[in-house]
Amino acid sequence: MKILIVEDDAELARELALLCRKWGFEEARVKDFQNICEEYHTSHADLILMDINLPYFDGFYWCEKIREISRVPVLFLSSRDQNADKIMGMAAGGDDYVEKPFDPELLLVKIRSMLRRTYEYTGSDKMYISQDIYYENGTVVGNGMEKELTRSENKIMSVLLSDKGNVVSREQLMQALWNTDEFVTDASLTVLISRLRNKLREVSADREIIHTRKGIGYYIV
Amino acid sequence: MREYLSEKKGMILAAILFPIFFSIYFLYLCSSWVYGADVLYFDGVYAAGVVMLFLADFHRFRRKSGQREDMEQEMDCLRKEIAVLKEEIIEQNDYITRWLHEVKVPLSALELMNGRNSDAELKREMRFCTERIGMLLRIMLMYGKMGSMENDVTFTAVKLEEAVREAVKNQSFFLIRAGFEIKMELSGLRVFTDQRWLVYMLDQITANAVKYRAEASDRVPEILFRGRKISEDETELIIRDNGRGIASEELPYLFDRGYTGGNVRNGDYRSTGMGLYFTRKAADRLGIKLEVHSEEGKWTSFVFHFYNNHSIRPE
Repeated sequence: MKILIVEDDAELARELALLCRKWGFEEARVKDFQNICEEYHTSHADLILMDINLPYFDGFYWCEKIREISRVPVLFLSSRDQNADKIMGMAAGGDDYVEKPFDPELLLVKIRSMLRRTYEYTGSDKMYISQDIYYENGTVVGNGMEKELTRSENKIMSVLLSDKGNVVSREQLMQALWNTDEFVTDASLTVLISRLRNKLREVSADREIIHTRKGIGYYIV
Repeated sequence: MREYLSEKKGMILAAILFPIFFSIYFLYLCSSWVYGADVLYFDGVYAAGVVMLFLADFHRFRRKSGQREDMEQEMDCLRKEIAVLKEEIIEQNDYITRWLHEVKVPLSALELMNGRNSDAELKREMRFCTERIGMLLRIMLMYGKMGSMENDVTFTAVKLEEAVREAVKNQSFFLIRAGFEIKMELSGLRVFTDQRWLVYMLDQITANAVKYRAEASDRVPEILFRGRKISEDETELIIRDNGRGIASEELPYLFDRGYTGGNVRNGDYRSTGMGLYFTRKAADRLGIKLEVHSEEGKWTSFVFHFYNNHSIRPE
């Protein structure tokens, strides 16, 4: 899957590109802001991240232009938080809207769901935890067993796996859960983690998968 | 002169009619008791007096009308000045809003860069700073938009739960850091208002709860959002925390501009005392009644009263 980044701020465009690569997407950045349609055409992108404040013409204009030639999903990135902008974005044919500054986690969720809707994309979500254990679509598989995870457990799992090898702080995990409207407390996070560990132990034949770094957080090797 | 005459028409007429009436009365009706010469003499004296009086009055009138003209000119100048200032305020607000949006771009980039920071401790500290900047920008945004609020208000049926969640997420970094417990009892209530402004306001009130939470060792900080339908028309939203509360003598000044209170801050983010001031102002303009109650050392609760909810069509 390829994402076209239409953002005239070089730093932000680069960071977005890095994020896309980290999430396993290809990326292309628009360089010529006078001919965005052409750039889109040559990039063969599957999704467009579109800033609204652009040189020459704004994002609404380009979205309309692109709509004339393609049904590619367009996600607006805007710092102009006005009621009118959301409506304008939809009117121009945009599919969704994210406000700056945005949470990368939230952006990924939106990108994934848009891709899923448009292309029935399921992605290669299969992530190997170790050689014989993997995580896919909300289930962990290993040891000849399958364990389904709950919504919150899934969230924790995907955050830990997306930062595999690094310690993820408890606050980061909580933040990720809060972003999906699960306002858990520190104590309930402990409960969630221990439940998740129990499930993982079953598929890993009692090997510990989520490790604790005392006073900091958790990590998966 | 003409102006003067037209203004004093009545008085002049009276001044002329009086001696005529006087003379006729004494010369013809009472002619047997008075001398005609005396009456005429009196008329002469009277005429001289009246002329002098009118002359003096006329001078005063001239002076006054001169003053009035000056004043009118001055008023015109002031009116023009006000128009210029109004224009300037609009320009300023416009600039503030633009500037804010421009600042957000590098801020977003900075936040994303910090995501790549491998030093966990530094990452956290930097996040704290970027969140604080974001928080301050949101207050400024509220201010910038307040000036031309009527241009960006859309009344719709707003789900309280949605607005509350958004506000809580805006403050999530600080709430998590302080170990807050979030409770919601909103039971699908909807109110007729502008969602964006409601989120701004709730954002400020939540920030306030974080700022004035109880000492960490005292109790687990908690914030409760409870909605209640009072009538077909009125719904209230209570935001109650278990923080340090507000002294009763400070309560009346809570929404005043720049009021920061005598409370020692928790060192989270310094307040400028503007957040709640803007909140009250926005609430007033949206027709929301905003109240605050508190018991010092125990709790504070803000209550929003939403009206006109009968305009919401059932789902």
